[in-house]
Amino acid sequence: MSKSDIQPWPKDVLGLRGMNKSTMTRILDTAVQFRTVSKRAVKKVPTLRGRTVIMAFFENSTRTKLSFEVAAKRLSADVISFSASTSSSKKGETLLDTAKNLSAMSPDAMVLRHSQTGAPHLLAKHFDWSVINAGDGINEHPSQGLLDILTMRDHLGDLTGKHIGIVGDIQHSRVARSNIFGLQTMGARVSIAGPGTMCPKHYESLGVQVVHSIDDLLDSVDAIMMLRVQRERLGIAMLPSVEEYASLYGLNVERLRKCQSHCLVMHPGPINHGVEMMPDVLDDPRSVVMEQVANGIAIRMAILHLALSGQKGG
Amino acid sequence: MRQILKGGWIYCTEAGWNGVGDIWLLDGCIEAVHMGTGPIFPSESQVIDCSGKWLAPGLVDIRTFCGELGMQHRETFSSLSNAALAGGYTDLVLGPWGAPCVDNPAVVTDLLARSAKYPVRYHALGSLTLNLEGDLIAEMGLMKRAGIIGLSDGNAPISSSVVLRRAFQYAERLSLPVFVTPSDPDLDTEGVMHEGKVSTRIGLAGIPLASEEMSLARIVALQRDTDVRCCTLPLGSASSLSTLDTDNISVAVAARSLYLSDASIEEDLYNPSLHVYPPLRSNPQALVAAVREGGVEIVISDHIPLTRVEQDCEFSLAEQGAMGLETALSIAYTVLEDLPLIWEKMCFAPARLLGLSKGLHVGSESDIVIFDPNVEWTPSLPFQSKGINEPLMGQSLKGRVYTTFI
Repeated sequence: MSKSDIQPWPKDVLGLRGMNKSTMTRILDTAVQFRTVSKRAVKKVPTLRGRTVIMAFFENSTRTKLSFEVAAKRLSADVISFSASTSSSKKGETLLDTAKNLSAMSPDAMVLRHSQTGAPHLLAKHFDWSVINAGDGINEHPSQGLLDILTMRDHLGDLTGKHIGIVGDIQHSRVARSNIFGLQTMGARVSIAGPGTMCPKHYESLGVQVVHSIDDLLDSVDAIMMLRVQRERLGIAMLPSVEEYASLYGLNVERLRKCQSHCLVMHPGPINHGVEMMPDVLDDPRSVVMEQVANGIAIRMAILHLALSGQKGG
Repeated sequence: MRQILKGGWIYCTEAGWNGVGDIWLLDGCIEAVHMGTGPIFPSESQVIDCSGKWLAPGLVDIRTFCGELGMQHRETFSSLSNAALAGGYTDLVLGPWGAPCVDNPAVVTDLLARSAKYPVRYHALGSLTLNLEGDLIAEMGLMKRAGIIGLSDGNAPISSSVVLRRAFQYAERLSLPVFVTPSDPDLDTEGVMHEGKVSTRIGLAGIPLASEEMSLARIVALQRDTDVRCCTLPLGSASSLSTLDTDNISVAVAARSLYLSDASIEEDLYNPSLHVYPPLRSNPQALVAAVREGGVEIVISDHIPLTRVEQDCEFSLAEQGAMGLETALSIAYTVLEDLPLIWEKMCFAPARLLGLSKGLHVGSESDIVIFDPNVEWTPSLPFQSKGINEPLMGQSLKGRVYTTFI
């Protein structure tokens, strides 16, 4: 590939809505290359030596934060982490003021998780350094969407025409939204299922099929993604009980039997065992939940590498 | 000094003017109105060429925010007056929100005394309930004696139907109009924009249209029950207009709602200046049609200035509200292109509702806006207002106020 063939790389990774297929494919392909790094004895490459990446997590996170940290460290970046509980936001400082102070420390990128939709877009508008969205409100979680797509591509090949089912609280799931946008760009057909309170009909406007029951999906999907029932986000009158949810929408062995033999079982984690997924489902060979976690590091390495390794601006 | 406003199109349904002519001003009053080619004026007069321009009474706004007292960083009477005159307004009605809230006669007296020295006529609304809390009705009678011309709890909904009914009953006996925002606090709780395709795409929690429709149905029922003079303040969608069949409810919309829609929040992604209440709905064309057909009687500025501190933040965390005084008339002209209709909606109808006298009568105090329909302009910083949250910033608008006399 000649230098002129390299497309300008976007400064920020804010979401999969609007990201084109070639950009997405490039991230996936780069991630595949980085996957080998994690299998070496010395799990480190010098790609981002001397670059500073700030992990700014204003919401609780274990796996995404650790995954981004591991990814940045395997690329040899200097990583600074802080969370809401230790930041000045506790003292009432605005996000923009916090970011201005961090900007004075000359970072190269910020990985941001925030409870408000659009928080990374706000910073991307104000600063020159890269902003990587690690989850904003109910909007998007692009790195999770990409790692899910990579996992599907590994097993299903080209996703064109593949049927993917997503089950659960779509309304409040940034994971679901990033998957919907990303999968559609890659040519897949997406169906969603869940209670009316969590999976409203107006989601059809995104071009997905809204079905009433998980049972309507089982025999036709190539992958089924179970979303976590986010008890902390349930709000008023979302569900009569988790027991009813588990019975009507949970994935159990009996339901899994109705799925195709190649159907992937996925979950973004953390899992509520016995609610959206029964424990024995995880033991099924079709479960790729741990592969998703491993792919998360590779995808995040790819995102950081592409955003920071000199391809910025083409 | 005598001033001659020469050769403009003079329009005033109250005084019966509609044609090209001259207006003579002397010592702050209208000395004469000469239709057609007027008499030769004294040589020492200051002549303002108004050819191609529109001369009509100043506009009336029935909902405006001023930061005095308590929030002067957002707006003072001085900046508000300048913004009003720049937008063609000469009568402004101040909402009851503020610190302190206008819920007792002492605050009314203080507010009106403070505002009296500025070159715009200020009027005050008192709150329907104490501190806008929706629990206890405020001292409406004493506030009327102190000078309020109507009652409102602003955007703070009165969730109790008993309290709302009693507030209406009490206001009716005092002959005070009430201004209510149709909203359902339960349905609005999580939302920050119109619920629909756009909110689904860009990941912001939605406010369903049912919130406005249900609330309006309740207001209609209680208005019928109590016979109070009532105005919605303002409506976001035309979809609920069919439920209104009474002569005693006036419908107001914000000028911006005729131009912007929920799609604007996707185009100018997460711009906090578009975080307004009622939310920008999906069909501004239907509201424009309702203005033309009479379903909407009043167009307001819904001016709520905010500063950079309140705007440089995430969309959902930004204070609700947007500026409007300096652009409302131009927005209305851009979408309607019908100045007689616009003056009915932005001057005469609100004046009738409030019992204000507006008209280019000979001998009356000058209260005239000169509007140039032939210019195009783009709102940009700085504004006369202290706010920065002008949602039409950067958009091309038709027609602009040339000057305002009061």
